[in-house]
Amino acid sequence: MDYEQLSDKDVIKHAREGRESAFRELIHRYQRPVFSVIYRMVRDRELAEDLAQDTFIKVLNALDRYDPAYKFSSWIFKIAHNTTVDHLRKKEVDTLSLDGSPHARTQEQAEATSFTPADRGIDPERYAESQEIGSEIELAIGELRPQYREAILLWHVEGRPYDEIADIMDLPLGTVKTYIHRGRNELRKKLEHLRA
Amino acid sequence: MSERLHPSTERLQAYAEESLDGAERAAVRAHVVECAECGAEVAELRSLFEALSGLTAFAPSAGFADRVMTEVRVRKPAFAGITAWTERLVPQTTRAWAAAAAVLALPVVGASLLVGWVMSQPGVTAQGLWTLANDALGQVLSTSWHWALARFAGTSIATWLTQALELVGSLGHRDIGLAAVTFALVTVGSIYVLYQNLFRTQARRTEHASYVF
Repeated sequence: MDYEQLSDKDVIKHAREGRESAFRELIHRYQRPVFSVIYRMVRDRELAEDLAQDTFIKVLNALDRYDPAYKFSSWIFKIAHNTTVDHLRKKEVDTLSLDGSPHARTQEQAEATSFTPADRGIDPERYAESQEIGSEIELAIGELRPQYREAILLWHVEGRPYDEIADIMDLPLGTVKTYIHRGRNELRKKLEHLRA
Repeated sequence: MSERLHPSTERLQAYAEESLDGAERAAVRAHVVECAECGAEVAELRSLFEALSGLTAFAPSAGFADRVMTEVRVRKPAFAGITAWTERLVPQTTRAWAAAAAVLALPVVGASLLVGWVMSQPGVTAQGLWTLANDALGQVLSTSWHWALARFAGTSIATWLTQALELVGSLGHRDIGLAAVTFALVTVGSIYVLYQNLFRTQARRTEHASYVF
């Protein structure tokens, strides 16, 4: 069967009926966007492959529980977000929190105590393991704090609307807008030297 | 009319990403056209947006789909086929449910009409019919059942049943048909109410359900 013309919901229907080719179609449609976001979040190809693989396994094994009232793309990006954030949290649990101190009462306090590669004095170039994420803009993105980075990637690279990003990242809409705004400002500063 | 003060960076970003509504967009545009500083900022933002949207979409290594599929549980097509066939039997619309209820009510209506017709025949009485049924059942069923039936015959329920049968016997064909149609309508209505409560409420509830993860 040719699935290319079918909507995500129709492909899911076929997958629920036990057609393996429908599962593969869903992987084909989303492997690049999901992997790209995760790769740019963790800056490690091998790790990104593992996390993307976990994401797809969780999603495809839970198709029976998928609620068609939601967009499938939102659902898969949300699971990718949770999988990535869980990994980053486990990695940093003994040092600094990704989201900032649990005792922080305001957004500013949370951001002041949150983890970013730059806070730890890590040379951003160390994150660029290969040429593919070694360009100036990729390096600048890699220097953003993870929350800004993810919001920027979802909006600009994946073309997700604000409300969907809020849903994926489990944040208020206003916070998402703030993150994107601040992320853009930081990118502009980091790329200032490239301006003619 | 252009704005005297420079728009905030938030507004300039919103303008550059084209998310401002008509009036606000017009106001910012009028300013940006006249103000070289803001014009340059918008141009720079657009250039940044363009660079971001043009970023490469990375692909995982070859064999990614195969590696995923080794961990995915795919239901066997035969089982899935039976499930799909069963799902097709369940009505999907209110009209379909009403039609199904009417079909289900037909045997009841048919039996009612049959009993009515038998009772309307000359020489047939409710008492005689009851005795006949009682005798037939008594021959077929075990002694214990017969004993239970005999005990039942002495209760007030049996008396009411007999009276009901006599009442039906006294009615004409038109009355019985009317009663059967009324009964069918009540049955359809009941099933519809049941459907509304069991299925539609569930659907409304799941519309706002949160994600499973």
